Amino acid sequence: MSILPVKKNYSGDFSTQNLLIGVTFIAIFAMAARPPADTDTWWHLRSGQYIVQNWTVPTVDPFSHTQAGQLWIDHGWLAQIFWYALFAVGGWAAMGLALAALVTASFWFVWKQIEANVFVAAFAMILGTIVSSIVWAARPQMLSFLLTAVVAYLLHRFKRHNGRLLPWLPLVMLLWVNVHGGFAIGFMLMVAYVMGETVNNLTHHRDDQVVSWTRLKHLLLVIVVSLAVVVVNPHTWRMWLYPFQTVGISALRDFIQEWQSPNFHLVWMQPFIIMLLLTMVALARSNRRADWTDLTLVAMWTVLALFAARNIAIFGVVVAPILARYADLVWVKQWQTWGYTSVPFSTVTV
Amino acid sequence: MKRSPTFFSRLTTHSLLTAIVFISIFTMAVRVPASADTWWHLRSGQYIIENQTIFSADPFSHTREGQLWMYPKLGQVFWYGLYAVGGWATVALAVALLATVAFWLVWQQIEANVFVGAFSMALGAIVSSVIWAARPQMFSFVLTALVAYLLHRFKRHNGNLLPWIPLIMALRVNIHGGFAIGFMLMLAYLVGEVINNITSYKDAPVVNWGRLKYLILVIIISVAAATINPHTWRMLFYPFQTVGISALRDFIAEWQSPNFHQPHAQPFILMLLLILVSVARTNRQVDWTDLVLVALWAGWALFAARNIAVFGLVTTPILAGYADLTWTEQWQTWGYTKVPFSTAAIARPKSKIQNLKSKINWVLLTLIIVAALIKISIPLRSDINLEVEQESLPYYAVEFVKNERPPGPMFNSYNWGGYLIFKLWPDYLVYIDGRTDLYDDFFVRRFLTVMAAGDGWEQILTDDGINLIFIESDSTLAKFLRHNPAWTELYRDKMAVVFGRVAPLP
Repeated sequence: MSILPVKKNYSGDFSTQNLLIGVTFIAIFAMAARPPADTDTWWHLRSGQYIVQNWTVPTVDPFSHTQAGQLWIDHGWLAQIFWYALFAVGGWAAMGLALAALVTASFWFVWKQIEANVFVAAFAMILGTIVSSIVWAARPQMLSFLLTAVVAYLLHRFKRHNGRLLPWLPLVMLLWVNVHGGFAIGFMLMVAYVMGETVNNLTHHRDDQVVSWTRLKHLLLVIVVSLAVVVVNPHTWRMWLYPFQTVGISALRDFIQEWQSPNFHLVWMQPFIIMLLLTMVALARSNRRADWTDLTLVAMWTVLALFAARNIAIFGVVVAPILARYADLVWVKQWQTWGYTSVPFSTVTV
Repeated sequence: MKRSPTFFSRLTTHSLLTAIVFISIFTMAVRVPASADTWWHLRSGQYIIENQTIFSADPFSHTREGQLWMYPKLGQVFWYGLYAVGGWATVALAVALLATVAFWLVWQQIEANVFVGAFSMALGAIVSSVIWAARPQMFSFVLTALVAYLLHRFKRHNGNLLPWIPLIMALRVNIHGGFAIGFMLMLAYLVGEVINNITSYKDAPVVNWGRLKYLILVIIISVAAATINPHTWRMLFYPFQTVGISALRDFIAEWQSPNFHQPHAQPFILMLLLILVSVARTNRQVDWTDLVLVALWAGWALFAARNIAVFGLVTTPILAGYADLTWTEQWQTWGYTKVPFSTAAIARPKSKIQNLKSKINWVLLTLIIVAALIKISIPLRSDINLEVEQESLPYYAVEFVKNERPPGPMFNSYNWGGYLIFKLWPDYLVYIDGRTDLYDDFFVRRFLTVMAAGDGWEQILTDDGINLIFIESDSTLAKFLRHNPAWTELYRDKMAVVFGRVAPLP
């Protein structure tokens, strides 16, 4: 007997399920509506203003006297225009609302990947939100946050629903490379899928939808095309090297908190541990072999989160659907073990 | 009469691998045995032996002199006894022996093919090696493995060895403050088995409700047994007091979250992820006790780097067990009926090829033993130990103070306090040292204020009557003192600097 999770259509009557969905998204929006400025917001705003007023993306540093005139790769130029425009039009209020809207939109894409009963889904969403909230601020990386969720959604559709949305990925990457240096996250997600699906094929994994070798070639082609399109930015090919250069700065790792290993004595870091351990328990108790792509994604973002605290945010976004899917299986299996034929709160067919 | 094969007449790959694992662990554990805390443990052990008394008032610092110091002291007597008899070589061999015994107890819990078992053991040993040093916590390490083994027998083999646990706890509470680990293991089993029963778990042996009551009784008796120590019931609160010192968590590396940019912390991630993959890829539901143990120690390890060692020790059998299941299931998925490297696959009948393999195995084992002996001999040499001491500790600055005898009382670096107790006591008492249970939050923060040359640092030194300062050359305080007319630099090298007050306080 196999258990296949099926997403239920929640539209229609205003049921408890729909209420819970509403509450979840309202909670996420309310949580994200906060004073939007952090220490980096200010120079992003000034940079955005510079671009708007001069109609040019700076390639040399105009702001410091120590690096004045030297090469500066302003990787977030498009996002800086976005934030500055909001600031110019509606001040901090507009920025605060935009921040909340970006977070909510990101989790809408997470929600679209969740295949679980609505209670488990809402729990995983809220936990993922809390975990990832550590980076929410009016910075270009918020657009990276949204685009991470978009790419994860497109890849999820491709794998689990034979989705044909892959051609959108190069376009998303084209936008991404112009809004934030974190575009490497998109490639890492794609590579994780290639690795996971390769191992799924090699190990004859049958418990989930597996991307066939032929379709994997499509994904590889999309990665190559995406690599090509990222040169379409003001700094051209140099952006290929940008992520490596940033990660390679040892002073960054040694002295900037968000690039250091997380300090779990800080309360806001602790939900990551809860989410990691719950994911492990869900994977372990689901009574079936876990999909290798899910495992690759969890492993990859666990490692990156333990190396640099800022990656905890991506862990929250990427892992929430995985946690929900396996937790739902655990829930169903447990009620079956107890001898129940009807599983409370479940939308899963047996 | 046909003789049956013995270990010596036929060394199987299985036996060779087992031998390699234990030789590797022993060899890895033979190292220069002194850590920053070893020194004050040795001095304390010496004090107990020479005075024939288990003291409870601090004799080593001038800031806490005469105040209650509850630290369990039996382990200190052991280490000092070894040091007095055979020097650092004996101490180093004892550290290696304790680490090997601990992993022998882990090996006894492993239910997997020998290759998976050996890999898990090697990984667990590397993960837990971060704390191997001549300190009483090495006994805690062995006793953790012993309690884990007894609980494993109790759960999986209906073992009746639980009555030993209160005795172990009575011993442990007199050796090291980490006796709380024993209670945490027992509680993890209790919680895990309660959930196993509630969830009607059937894929592994489950401790039934009747036997669980027995475990609860053992926990209660163990709590009572833990009061059998010189400080009686007060020791029950000792672990909470130590963990509760926030300055400890904020400033002492081993109590902080692990820094995974350091290579020695990275094997923990590998082990955690391999466990995650193993439990996720097996076709059956995982035992709740195993999950509670992994979650408990992964959580603790992420809070305080020192707990990584216990994680390695406790989760090695769990990794091996599920990795073996995953391995077997994968080959079955591929359609094989015979699983490579499984115990069944190795146990083949004796043949000419087998005899040849046995001879090759003997050659390999001999080579490995020779290589291990060469490696082991290095940290046992007294000149190497002295060299390490001179390179890693303020050896020459201490020599200066010993010879010149500048007036105290002394203010000193936290990291060197233990070394100074060993080298300079009773001529000089320390300001602070690694005995974290002795110094409270307020005192440690006051100390840190001085080290950072924060507001009022000079007044603190005056209030405490300090005439001599022994700190790191590149410290903030050293930079301030060099430009302060009230102090003069008496000695400096790359590592340490010694300052004396120009006009000593009475």
